[in-house]
Amino acid sequence: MDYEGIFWILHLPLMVVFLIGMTDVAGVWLRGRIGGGTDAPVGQKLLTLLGDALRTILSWRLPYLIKAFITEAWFNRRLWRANRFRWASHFLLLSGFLLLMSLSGISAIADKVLHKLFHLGNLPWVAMWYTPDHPVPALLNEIGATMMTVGLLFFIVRRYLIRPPQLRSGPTDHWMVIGLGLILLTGWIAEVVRLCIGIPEGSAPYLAFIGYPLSLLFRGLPLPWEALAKGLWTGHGLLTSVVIVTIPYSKFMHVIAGGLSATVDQFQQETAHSAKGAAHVPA
Amino acid sequence: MSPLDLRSFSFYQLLEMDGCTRCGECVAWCPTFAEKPELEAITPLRKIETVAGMVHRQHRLLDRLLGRRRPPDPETLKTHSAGTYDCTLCGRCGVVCPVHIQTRSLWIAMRESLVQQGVYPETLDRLRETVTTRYNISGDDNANRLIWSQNLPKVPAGVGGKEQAEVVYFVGCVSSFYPQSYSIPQSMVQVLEHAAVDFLTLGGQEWCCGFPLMIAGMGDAAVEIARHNVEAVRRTGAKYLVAACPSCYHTWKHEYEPMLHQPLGFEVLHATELLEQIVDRLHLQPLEETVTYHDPCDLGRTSGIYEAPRNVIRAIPGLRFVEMEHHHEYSLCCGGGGDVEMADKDLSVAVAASRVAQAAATEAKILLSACQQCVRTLAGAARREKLRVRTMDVVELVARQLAE
Repeated sequence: MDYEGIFWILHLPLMVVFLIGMTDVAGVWLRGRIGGGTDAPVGQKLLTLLGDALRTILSWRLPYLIKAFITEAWFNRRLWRANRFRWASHFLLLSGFLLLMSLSGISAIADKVLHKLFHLGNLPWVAMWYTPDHPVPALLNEIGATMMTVGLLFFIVRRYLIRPPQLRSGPTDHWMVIGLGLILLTGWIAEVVRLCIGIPEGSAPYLAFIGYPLSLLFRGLPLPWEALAKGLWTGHGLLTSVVIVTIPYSKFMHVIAGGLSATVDQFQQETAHSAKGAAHVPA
Repeated sequence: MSPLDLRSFSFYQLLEMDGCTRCGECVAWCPTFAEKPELEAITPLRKIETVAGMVHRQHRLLDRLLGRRRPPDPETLKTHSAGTYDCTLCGRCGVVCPVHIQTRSLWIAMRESLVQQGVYPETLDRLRETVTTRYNISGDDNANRLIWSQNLPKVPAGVGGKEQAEVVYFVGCVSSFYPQSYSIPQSMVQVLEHAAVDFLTLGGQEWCCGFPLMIAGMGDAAVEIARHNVEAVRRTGAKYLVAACPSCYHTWKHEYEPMLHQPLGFEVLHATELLEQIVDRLHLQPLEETVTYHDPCDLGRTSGIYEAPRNVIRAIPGLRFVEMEHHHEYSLCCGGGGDVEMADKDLSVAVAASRVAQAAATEAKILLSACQQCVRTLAGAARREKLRVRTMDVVELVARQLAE
């Protein structure tokens, strides 16, 4: 069995475990009140929420929702006002993560769906996303990984070296650092090893502006680069899957819950009917 | 110890608690923690962590699988209760929270759950008894709600003399029964009379708005009170209700309709909103003085009214207006809210001292606010700190500057 097969055999059950965890968490949320009622069944509450969400998405208020997500969940104006260094750490981590996940998704769709299913691999704008070391994804992936790495370093410096008095660090914080740190480290190593294999014709690996120079340092070593690269990428992928499994029960959950609460609160503020000074009292 | 009933919390509040990253931004802005740093349980961060932990241990599948399922620990609950009731509900934490947790309503939900579990300050049982049987917070005879009007040189017809009017002036318990606050309703009715506003007061038919019960986590006890008050206003045929107390204002404006599941049938204004609309026809006399303004938490952060009182102040010719270091949504609490005065008076005093120090730093001679509780609390602090600053309500200043 090849490495890709091993990856999917382990990754899919882990994703099922992740979904069970998310269902568990959402199940607890659904025990709370919705719309003032206290005893409605969970199914009814879920339908109410889904109905509200759909009505919002399919309405004139959708731009406000998108704007709220961008300004509060993604760019996080409150963090910007609180502390620029902290904002930079968060923005780099989140944006780098969004970029890398998007690129992974696009690559998978381009390869498995557009290329292998619909045979559109002859189109350059399809093939570029799954071609190793094509300039565009090579550069974007490098940027994404660098952003996350710098963001994590800022996080570590602030939490463990600067240590502002408002911070309280505990096991959940340490797990975030360890989990993210291992993913990034294995990703960089896997990338450097992959670049040590050799340069396919037409590719532009030099745009991997950190991975490529590092690979030049190690390329001369007599190691089975190809087998190592496959093993390391599979390990990196599975490590990511393991960290994903812990999301519902770890501080990583704030990515979902915090993103939702920031977006929804800002959205409600912007679309709420203002009643300030509404009445005019005659003499 | 009974299990935690998740119905005290909304879906959204349970989600918010899982969104908390314990970043501590709230800690840096909490006025009560600043004065009582030995009680970590006061911090918003710990309150959320404690309740989220209880929720997880009782309701999560993972905790059941790991054998961690158990009811709340009594000592933890007791500490959590102390921290939760030592909060003035100022809402500053919610303004700075990077994930926009609506902290004030979350703290009230926590108090509701603590009341359900029977772990709350005993003084609040007396409060509930007083409010639901005497219809005010002081325990006085409610029929004496107009006692503040006895010193008026001329009592307007609207004060106890009318049954129908366009505007109902809802006086509130503190202004009705605490002598140091009498000048607020006295000033208010003088201003209304001067502006020829058709108004009345409800007298003994005015019951406590119920706000102290709601924030104590005893909101169920306030439903009958709300029903009575709304009917009393409807019988007058009024189109508007005006409250000088921000807590009463907020309760009328934002709590009564969801509580009673029906529209009120009349508009609700804060006194400064009304003053803002009529100030041009009051022809106020000039006053050469430096003033500053304290944003009441229940008017500013909770109800979103910041500019109306400022516009009224600026309408007085000659005044020099200076903002304090923390103002608008970052305003520092006076320490008088959240029932903290009942639960921990020393803490309330300490918070007030910090706020009057900010006022003193502006070199203003008059510290204005738009809340009788803030005025009372800050006046007490100014006296204790021996500061030469006079505290008064915006409506009192307006009344003083009325043209003859």
